[in-house]
Amino acid sequence: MQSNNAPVVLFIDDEQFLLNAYQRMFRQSDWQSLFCLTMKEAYAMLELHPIQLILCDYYLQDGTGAEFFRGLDHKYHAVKRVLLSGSSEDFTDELIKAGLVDQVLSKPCSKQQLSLVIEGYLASVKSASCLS
Amino acid sequence: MNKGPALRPLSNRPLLTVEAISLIYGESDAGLIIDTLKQFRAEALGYVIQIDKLWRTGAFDDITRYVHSLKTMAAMVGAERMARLCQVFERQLKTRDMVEAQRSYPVFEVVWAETLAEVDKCILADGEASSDAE
Repeated sequence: MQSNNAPVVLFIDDEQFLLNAYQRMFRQSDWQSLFCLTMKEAYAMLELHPIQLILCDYYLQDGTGAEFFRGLDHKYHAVKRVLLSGSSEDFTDELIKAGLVDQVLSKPCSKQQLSLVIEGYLASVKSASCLS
Repeated sequence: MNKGPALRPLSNRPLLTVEAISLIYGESDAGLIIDTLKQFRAEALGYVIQIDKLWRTGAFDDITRYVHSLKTMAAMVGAERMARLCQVFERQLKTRDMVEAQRSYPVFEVVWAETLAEVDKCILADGEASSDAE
């Protein structure tokens, strides 16, 4: 059950099928989920909602997930970033070392895998905000 | 005869394991499985039609994107043979290994037709079960 100040998680994927899946998985979660298909929509969402965690697909209609994270304004530096990749290319280390993403997950991800990752990041955001 | 080494394990993989849907979504509701298969059918069919058109024009970057998307969608519904074939086909397209890709495309068409038939069988069986219940 969500409260009014539930944390907000943004899912970005160019596949409506995948967004529908995430919507179904997390319709009864402790966080609010938002969904969008493009980088452009995602940048607008970031302006409009207090998003704490982004899960973004690698291939998008208007660029790549790496480009999306690279293009994020500095004011969103505290937002946790997870890249969802369906590709066998190994760019994980490079992206993490560059500080572009916190984690790369291979698609398809189960609800269980995603829940663990999301809950972990939201807990770290919460404890960081308690300390500051 | 060269059958293309990457495609050999295909026949060992199931066409459709709907239990994968429950594992991925974390619930075993029958309605979820049928809804997901229906969505998969509609979206994947659209991609396959696009791939078919693009194959004739040689727009391989676009084909690669569609195959990449199909791969994930197929894995989400437990269409293991299709997912594996898409993985191999995507790699061939990305590396422009057109000899192997030309060999894979007819296999892709067959595996898609078989996968679609399995999906339809599940959807139809559900429809019959629902009308029996009424």
